[in-house]
Amino acid sequence: MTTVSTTEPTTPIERLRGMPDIGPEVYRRREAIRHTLQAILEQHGYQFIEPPVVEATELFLRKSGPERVAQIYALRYRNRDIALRPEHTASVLRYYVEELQNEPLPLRLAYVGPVFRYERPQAGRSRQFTELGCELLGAPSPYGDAEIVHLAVESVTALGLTPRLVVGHIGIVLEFLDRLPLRQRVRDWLLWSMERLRKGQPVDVDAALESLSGNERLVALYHELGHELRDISPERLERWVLGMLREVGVQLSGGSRTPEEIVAGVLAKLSRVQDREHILQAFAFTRELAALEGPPAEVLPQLRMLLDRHALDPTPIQQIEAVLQLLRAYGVEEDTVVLSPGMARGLHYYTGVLFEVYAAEQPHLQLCGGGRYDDLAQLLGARQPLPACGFSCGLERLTELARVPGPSLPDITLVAPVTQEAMPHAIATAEALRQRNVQVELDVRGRSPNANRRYARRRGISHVIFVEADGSTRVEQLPLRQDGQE
Amino acid sequence: MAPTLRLAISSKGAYEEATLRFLESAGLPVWRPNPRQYVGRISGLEGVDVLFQRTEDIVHKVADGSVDLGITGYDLVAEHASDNPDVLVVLDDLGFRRCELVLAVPEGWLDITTMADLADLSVDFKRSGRTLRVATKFPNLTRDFLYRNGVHYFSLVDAHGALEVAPALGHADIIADLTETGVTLRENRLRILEGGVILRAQACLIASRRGLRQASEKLERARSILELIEARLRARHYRVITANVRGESEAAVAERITANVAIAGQQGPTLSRVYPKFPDAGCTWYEVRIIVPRDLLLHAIDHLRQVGSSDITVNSPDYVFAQRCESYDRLCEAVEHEP
Repeated sequence: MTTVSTTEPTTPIERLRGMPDIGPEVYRRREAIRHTLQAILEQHGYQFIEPPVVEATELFLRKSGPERVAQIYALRYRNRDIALRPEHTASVLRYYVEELQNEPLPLRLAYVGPVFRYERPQAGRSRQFTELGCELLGAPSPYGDAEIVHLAVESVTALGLTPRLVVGHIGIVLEFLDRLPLRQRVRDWLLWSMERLRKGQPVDVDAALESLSGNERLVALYHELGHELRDISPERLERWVLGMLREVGVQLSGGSRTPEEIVAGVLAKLSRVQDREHILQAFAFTRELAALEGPPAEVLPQLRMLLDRHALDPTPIQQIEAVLQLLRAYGVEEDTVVLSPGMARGLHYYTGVLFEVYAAEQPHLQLCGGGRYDDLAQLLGARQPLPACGFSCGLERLTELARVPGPSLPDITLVAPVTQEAMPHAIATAEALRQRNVQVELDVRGRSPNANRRYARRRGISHVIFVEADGSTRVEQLPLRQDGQE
Repeated sequence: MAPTLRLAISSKGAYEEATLRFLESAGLPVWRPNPRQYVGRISGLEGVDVLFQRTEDIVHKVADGSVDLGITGYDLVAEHASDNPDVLVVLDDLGFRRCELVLAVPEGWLDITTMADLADLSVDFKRSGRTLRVATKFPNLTRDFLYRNGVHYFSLVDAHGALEVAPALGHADIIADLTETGVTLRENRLRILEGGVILRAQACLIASRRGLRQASEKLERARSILELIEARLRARHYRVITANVRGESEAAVAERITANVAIAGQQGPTLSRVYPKFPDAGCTWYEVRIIVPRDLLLHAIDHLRQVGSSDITVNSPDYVFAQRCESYDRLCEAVEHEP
């Protein structure tokens, strides 16, 4: 057996990479900001809830975008797939499905708590952060959207920052994509590439085309065969190919898939070449959409023309306009808004208006973001459709940027027994003061009066109360500590 | 007493032999009292223990600091410690035990040849209520690779022992496994996907930040080992050519040789006069020595022939030392810096 000797120093255990420690000063600042934001949400009728940190991994896989899936802290524990939550929305909706389906709508729920994302550690990004946000369940567009956008803008404003609001509508691109027979993987890629184009990042279409619809050899083969094969029913074709392959002795039994599945796969691969046209068509559209960005007065007419040209449903434009109009009532002027119809955000559960808020002071740091997700509740098993929207923000990032004075240091009084015998009296004194809401520290190290004065000065404590063995007390006010001086 | 530097190497059959051969070739012969002992020493180097360990354990021991240096597979380091700032890869390629971690599907899956095909298949599986099961001993590398290649719906199956039979036995649909030649995969009717190489790996030298931070004596001993290994690895890229060249004067010969800068040696040729057995009036012979990169050897020979060389001999150097021991400098910097 090994015994650990208490006298022998052991190697210290270091903090995990990307996992921050929040020290007292930042904690105080962050809590003050949390209170501010919490108060704003509560004023609007939001009630705070706290879902568990650990959930079934499946909850976050249902509709998260690929980037987010790759960041989940997922693990297998006692034969269950569990994950640390990377965000709150899915948990809140799961809670709704389990507990709140019979409640009157709308429901206004808010949350604040740690979330975990396995990101590359870099400045301004850690693997654990505190997410604060809210969900407005059962409020269709545009009233719901306007309330949520207003809340996000109000939150940023309350922290002394100048919000820069960017609004988009995922419904436009989704409708376009719905018209084309595109596979999920192609849709994922198109949304991903639109977001990149919007941010001015390069997208390699040729490489993507090859990966999504087959390489040149396959394209050539399809052009040669496609017309001939078009009139033959897939079932017959499959039967022929299967028979032929068997005849020439090609082994088709491959583990978990049947020969029929494999042959169907071969033929599907050939027909995937047809997707090429659709992919290019959709890509051209997303590129046009991504290029539109600017003040609503400029972008809206262009967007209207684009939708007209493609005979798309104008409802998204009407919704955006209605939200902008309602925001004016909330005091958000249109000239502070940027319209960006090519916005997709990383998550794939959005269905309507979505938005991001930046600080004018730090135009590249996103402070809040959110949007409408009308399908999510049903995806998670709700009986009825539930129009819903919400937003969230990272408290640590806001704490770093906020331009509000941090809370002042608490005014602490030190109660110090002069001798050992004075301790019971000192405790009584301290407790009496605490009853009167004074923050009191008690000397538990049995220090001399001089040592206590030194300690108090270093800690920034302004008053020391010395307690004698007979219970008598003497208050001493210490000179205020100058900065850089002990 | 100064603390002993602990170097862990593989205790597993062929891997152990290859490591011992490599160390010996670098001038670090390992001596152990008898083959059943798990601690050995390096002849001529005091204060170094050589510990024989399982290859997987070496990474973990370096990570927790119970071993200071380790020689193990880069695949294991990437899998188990890519995110661990306490494990420092000092030399990532020692030139032996090359292998690849690859994704392989059953040969009969004619429709699945690329990673894109696999991504489509995983979506099809999900739609029909199945999950693509991937058997591997490298879950972290495999997961990241699949995500990077657009495969998002899959589950990893923990498999020990003979992975190649998992698809045939129905434990998994496809596998991610190490292969050196691909023979075992083929024998089990599996095919490597195009673009399905997850990682190319080989033996590498890793160091423990924790272990080495504690004692400067250890770092000094690590330097002796690194100096020799680094110089030995560098030497493999060079050849030493010695040739006799006829010429009027030393300067004239030097000028002809340096005309081709790429193969005139690192700084330039060394010339020394040859005193011939049969003096030839009006002509002098010089011995030329140059060091050239291995891949330029034949160019250099051609050039030397053109300028009138004969009797060309070529040797491989045992060591080539640079101005500084780069790996040691890197190690020191990494040990001192906070992760």
